[in-house]
Amino acid sequence: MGSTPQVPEGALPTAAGALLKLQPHGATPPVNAYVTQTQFLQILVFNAIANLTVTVYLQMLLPDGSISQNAWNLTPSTTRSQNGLNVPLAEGFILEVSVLSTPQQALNRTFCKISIISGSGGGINNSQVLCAGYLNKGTALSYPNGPLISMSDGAGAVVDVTGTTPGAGAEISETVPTGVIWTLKAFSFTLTASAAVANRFPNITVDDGANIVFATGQGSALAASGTFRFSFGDNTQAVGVFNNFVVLGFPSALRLMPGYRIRTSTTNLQAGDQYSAPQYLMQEWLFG
Amino acid sequence: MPIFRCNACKGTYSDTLRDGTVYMHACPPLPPDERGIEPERENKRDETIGTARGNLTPGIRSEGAGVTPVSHKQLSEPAWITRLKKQIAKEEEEQ
Repeated sequence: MGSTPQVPEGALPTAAGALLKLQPHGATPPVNAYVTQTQFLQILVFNAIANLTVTVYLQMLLPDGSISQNAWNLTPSTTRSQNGLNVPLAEGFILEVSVLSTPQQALNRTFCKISIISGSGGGINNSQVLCAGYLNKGTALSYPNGPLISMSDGAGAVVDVTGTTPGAGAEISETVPTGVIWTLKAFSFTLTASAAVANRFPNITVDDGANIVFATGQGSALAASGTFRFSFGDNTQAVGVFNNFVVLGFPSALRLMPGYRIRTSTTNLQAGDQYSAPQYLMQEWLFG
Repeated sequence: MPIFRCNACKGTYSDTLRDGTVYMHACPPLPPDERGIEPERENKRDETIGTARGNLTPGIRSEGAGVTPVSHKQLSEPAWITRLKKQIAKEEEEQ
């Protein structure tokens, strides 16, 4: 079987701790984040989850050689808009910053950026971004050696949305909220025709809030008192009506910016016709 | 989850998705006119967040004709909008 490992002569230290020489006085911290009293630690959080607390820890080396530790808690709003806190700094070296969120449940729904800034009010200047990224389960943002990730990097989050049930005779219209970029993965709804005699032709329109950027339809009419289920998604191909199910063609990886709308536009829609609430899956990146 | 009816377009919706994310309603445009143009409603409600106003938290874009609670009669509007309005009022008072 195996033999005893052979150790080259002289490879082991003669005494533990005797080889490494530390300079006990005037040592330079191993990080380059020197700050003064005119600077702030800027904490920016963009969030889509309810009841979330973001905690930021800061460790600093002060001029007298002491090490200070502080922590701040933020409860960010859930509207995906920017939440900010500027913390005045003392002169010294920032040794460590770490950011955690609790509870950690959903993937890529909370983004945090920690920076050193100078000035205040309208005259803020970013001098250094320390760390930036999504706060996820089992991970923390940190400085040094932490990530510098853009909001639009990575796989994003998957959001399952139940939209608005339109009033009778009204169209479906879903608007991309402020503060996100969406890529549509799947979208489905039904149209139940009233007894009024007419051939309805539902079409799908994507617009930027005003101008149409994509439109599609299908050639089979929905007659009185019928119900069709319509579905489309990322890179679907149009097929004919089968057992009252309709699949519409839709582009691949179509990025939808804030204010874009996905809506129906129906030829011969009658006053008593009823669309269901659309159910849709979106790949979402926060976008501040 | 609370259900609301938009007084402008008569659409009904929940203000919260199953995972707790807020849902922001915006009214659809009106049917196309004879020129094929789909005009917006005069009293259109749009709950998406407006543009930032300096350091102040932005509010929703348009109240429109308001909403009527369907399931939670004690609410006058989605709870997240009430919280947002309180935060905006507090910031304006501090300025």
